[in-house]
Amino acid sequence: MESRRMHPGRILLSLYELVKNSAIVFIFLFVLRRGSDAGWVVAGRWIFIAAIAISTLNIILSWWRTTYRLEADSVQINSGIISRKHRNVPFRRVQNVNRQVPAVLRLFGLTSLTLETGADGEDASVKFPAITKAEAARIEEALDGYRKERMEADRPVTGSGSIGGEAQQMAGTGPLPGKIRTVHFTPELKDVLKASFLSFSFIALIPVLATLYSNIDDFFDLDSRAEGFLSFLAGSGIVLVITVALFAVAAIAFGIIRTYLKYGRYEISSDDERIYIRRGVLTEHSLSVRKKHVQAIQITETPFKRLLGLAEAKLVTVGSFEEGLEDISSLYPFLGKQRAVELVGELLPDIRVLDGMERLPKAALTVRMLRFPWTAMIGTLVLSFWRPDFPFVPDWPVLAAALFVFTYALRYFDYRNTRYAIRGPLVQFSKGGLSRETFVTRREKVIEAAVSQSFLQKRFGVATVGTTNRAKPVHVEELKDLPKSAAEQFNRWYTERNPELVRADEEAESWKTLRSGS
Amino acid sequence: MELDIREPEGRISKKAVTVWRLSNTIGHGITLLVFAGLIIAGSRFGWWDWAMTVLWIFGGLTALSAVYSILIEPVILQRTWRYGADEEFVQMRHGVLTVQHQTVPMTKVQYVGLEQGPLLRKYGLYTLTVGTMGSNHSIPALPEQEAKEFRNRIARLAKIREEEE
Repeated sequence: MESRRMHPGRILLSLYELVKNSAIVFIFLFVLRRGSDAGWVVAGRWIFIAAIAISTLNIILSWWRTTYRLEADSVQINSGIISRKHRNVPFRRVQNVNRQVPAVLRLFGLTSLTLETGADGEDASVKFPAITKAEAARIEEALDGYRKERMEADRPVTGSGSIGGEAQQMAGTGPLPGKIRTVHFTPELKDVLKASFLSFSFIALIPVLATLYSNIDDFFDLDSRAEGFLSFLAGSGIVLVITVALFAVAAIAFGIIRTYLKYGRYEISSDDERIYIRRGVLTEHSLSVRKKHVQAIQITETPFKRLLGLAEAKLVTVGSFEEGLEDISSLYPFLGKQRAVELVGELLPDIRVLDGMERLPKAALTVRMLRFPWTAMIGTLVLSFWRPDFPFVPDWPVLAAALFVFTYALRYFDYRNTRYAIRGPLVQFSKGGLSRETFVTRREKVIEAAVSQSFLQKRFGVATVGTTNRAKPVHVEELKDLPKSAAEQFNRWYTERNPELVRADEEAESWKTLRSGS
Repeated sequence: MELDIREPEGRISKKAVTVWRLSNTIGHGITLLVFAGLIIAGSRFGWWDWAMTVLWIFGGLTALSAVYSILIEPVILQRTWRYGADEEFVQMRHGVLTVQHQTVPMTKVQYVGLEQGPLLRKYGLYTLTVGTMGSNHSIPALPEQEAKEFRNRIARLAKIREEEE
């Protein structure tokens, strides 16, 4: 196939960013100091013009010199103006596909596309900063086309039962990728309103105002004016009340708009092969990840969300996300817990949040209470040396006592919240004192398992188990103080159930029981 | 009540005790010297009392931990280390107070290597490292012959099916 360049819109995008980043310097040199003949201002103007000229040339040349080519099973990228860089990224390494479409790009009907791999460092991803939507679709199809071909080629191999690796085995037994997309979730107005209150985004108005204030203050002397304004406020009760009310209204409106811009057009959809998450009204973010590449599911319930019965489910994937996209793998953070669990089931045929988990034995509580309270001890030591003396703050022994009460209360709550289940191909942990976190993964997605037992745990017949999953950085999960028998079961679950030895129909059987159970 | 988990068979070299004793003596010796220097300097220049108290406490703790990690720990650690590999997994078991069992599937092994510092070289030993996609594990103090055989074995078993990227 032929080599292509990015869309020329790439140049516009870079120029737009250049203008955005140099605007403050421009305003300073050419507007605020427009009458100045001082040597450094004149020199500064010439340096500014030279820098802009060089950057513009650089932008155009680097667009000209960057080309890419889609091969049968990889993508080749050549870049660099003088020192050339040639990269070849095989499709099989691509884990996630992200898009981040700022409003500028959308104006021109363009999109950005990033292919994330599991590698480390700067070569971890391939970014197409500006391409047409049709071109993006072509690249994604090339990824899928390669997979489809490979799956068909794998069929006879898995059928004869030779060494195949788990990925192919599952791909071989699954249906061919269908192109029918099912939409699983889009928020309604009430979801957006709920989100805007729960995300506390109205509080974000304060830092925004503060930044604005300090930026303007650099150029105008706001401080003295503000003082005058404050004394004016203090002078009249009605004015004060009105100002506070106006501020509250502004904050709430700001919060709703901000939340709407981020979560307003959320959409979670899937086809047989992939999961798609997109969000954002002005800047559009989207993620598409193969279902087989989802390593685990993590469900987080903060204390506040627990009160309201909400939960956030997140996909743990291998490819990392660039800045601004970190939370794109979340399945809408303000879903009801039941709905979040259902959604996981709808999206991932292989992973299911289990019901009826086991609780820890009484011995676990004893062990937890007996553990040395390092944080509280060190905190007490620090307090006894420091002896803080502030108005309204109680004496240090009271603070130290509060620290101990808090530590032990947290231990008790954590004990109460901790649950585990080892069933079929799945393992699920749930824990947390204030926030509760549930983690569920499949056996073949666990790249390492650990069982450990401390001296204290040995006395009380409990043990700690841990899993490591692929992610960037690796996702390590640990559950403390399981009964000894469960830890042994966990070890057997990991070492004795060879996925290649489990017959496909047997696997299906365990799924059926799980489904009817939940 | 000990865990009933199938243990790997391989043991590490008895010379490990000597190597660890030497390296811990060097490490703790340096730390103790630093503390001694600070305490001497402090009493000569009349530092604050609380600073001296802290120095004595931490110096004393270091001395206690030196006794433990030079005299006691190496023996037990050497005695409790087990490692092994079958077709499916690399297994490790170690720990003095806390016993750790680690299991790494062959399919997830990314690299395996041998390392040898000056002390290990003196005793003809190697440390074997097994790296997965995100972490790595070391089996310390293996005799040269065993280390190389074990490395080659893992390399062979892990290579057969490396698929999922």
